[in-house]
Amino acid sequence: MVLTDKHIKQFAVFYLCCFLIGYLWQSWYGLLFTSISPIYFLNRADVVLNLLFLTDFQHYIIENRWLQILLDSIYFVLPILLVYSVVKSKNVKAKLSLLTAIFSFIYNLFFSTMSFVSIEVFLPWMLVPLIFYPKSIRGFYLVMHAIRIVVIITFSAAAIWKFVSGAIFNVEQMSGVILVQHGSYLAAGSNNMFSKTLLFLVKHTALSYLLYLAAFFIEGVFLIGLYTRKFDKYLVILFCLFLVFDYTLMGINYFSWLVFMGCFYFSMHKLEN
Amino acid sequence: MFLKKLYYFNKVFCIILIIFIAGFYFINYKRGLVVAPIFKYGMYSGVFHTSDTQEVVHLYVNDKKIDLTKFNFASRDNLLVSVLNYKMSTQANIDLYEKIEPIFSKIGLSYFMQHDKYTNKITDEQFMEWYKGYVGHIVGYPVNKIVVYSQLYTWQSDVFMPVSSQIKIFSLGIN
Repeated sequence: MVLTDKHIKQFAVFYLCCFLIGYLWQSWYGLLFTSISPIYFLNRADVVLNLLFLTDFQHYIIENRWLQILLDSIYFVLPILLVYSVVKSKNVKAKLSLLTAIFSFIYNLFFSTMSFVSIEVFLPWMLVPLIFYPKSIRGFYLVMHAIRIVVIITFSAAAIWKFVSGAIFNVEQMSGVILVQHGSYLAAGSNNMFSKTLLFLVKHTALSYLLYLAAFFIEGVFLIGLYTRKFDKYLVILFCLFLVFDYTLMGINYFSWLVFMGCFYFSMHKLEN
Repeated sequence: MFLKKLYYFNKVFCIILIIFIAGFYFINYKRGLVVAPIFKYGMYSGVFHTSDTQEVVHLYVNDKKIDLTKFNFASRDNLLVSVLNYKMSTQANIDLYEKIEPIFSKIGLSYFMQHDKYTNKITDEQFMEWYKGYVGHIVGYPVNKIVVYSQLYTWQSDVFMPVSSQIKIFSLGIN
């Protein structure tokens, strides 16, 4: 199937839907500057973040309520404007895509130092707007595929590390991981279904190890995407399974990464010539 | 080849992609500092055993222990991680400042690198006042007193059990 302007607009709408759901989720659980009203930050070993800290913007955010509201508002509005400009084919879309990517980058770098949410979760909001930067369909195709490659190397790195560290050869691994992730929850001593499931998995190390192996397989199998696009639809399905289990079992919300699957869904379309 | 196509389309973008990929593998291999937007993706790739000891947090609000199982994942993390991050931030921010400072000095940025910028300006009392309001919002009732304890647990004989006594890490509203 040939890639057309219609597909670019569909991707843009998909991006906006994912973003709005993510934003709604963050608002609901009080994960915006406005709702947290942060009073401290926790630095990370990130050169770019520490360069940004030179501006002392982190203290301006903490000390100025109006700035928190402004940042949350711009963060909300920019993707909407970007998608509007893509759907209506406005010339300003290139500038808006850059602006959205850069603003999301800075916003999330600061936000993640003042909340419990890991910076890695926000990667899609920094990269996906760039897909809409090119004016031509060919440009869209190439940038989308470049980001597809970034997703593949990023996601598969987790599998490579599990192999290199030897974690994948440790039968107790998943049981240990569950205790690390849910220690405070299990210590509460509840008898509910979730606690029982967790304890069952900790106890039955071989069974929980199979889950760890499955996660390793899903992460690793993405490497195939570097050589062919034929299996992209299966990668999308596997990735969705990974997200669901990551949330239900581990309590880790990586649903923002769903927007990256647009790159794998639209990769089946080819350029006209 | 995709990179060739990308090169003829936009040389700058192609070079950025190559740098990103090379940088990604270098940073993930070195496991030291990252350079956003290149991050480390271990996703529990360290080796874990059930016999490892885990630090567990107990939260007492108005003299009553909060049952964490009554909250969803996000609220639970809000309750616990915000206090653990604050506890960690005092030393971690200083350590990172000392780690980054020599690097920035080498590129002539030491003039802008002031210690104040990299540390929090609040006291423990101010933090607990803030935390009181934060917790009150999550649990849904006014909070007069909060005590946060830390305790070590481990998995022994198929039971997740404490192996140390509770240590008070923060408290507010105690006479």
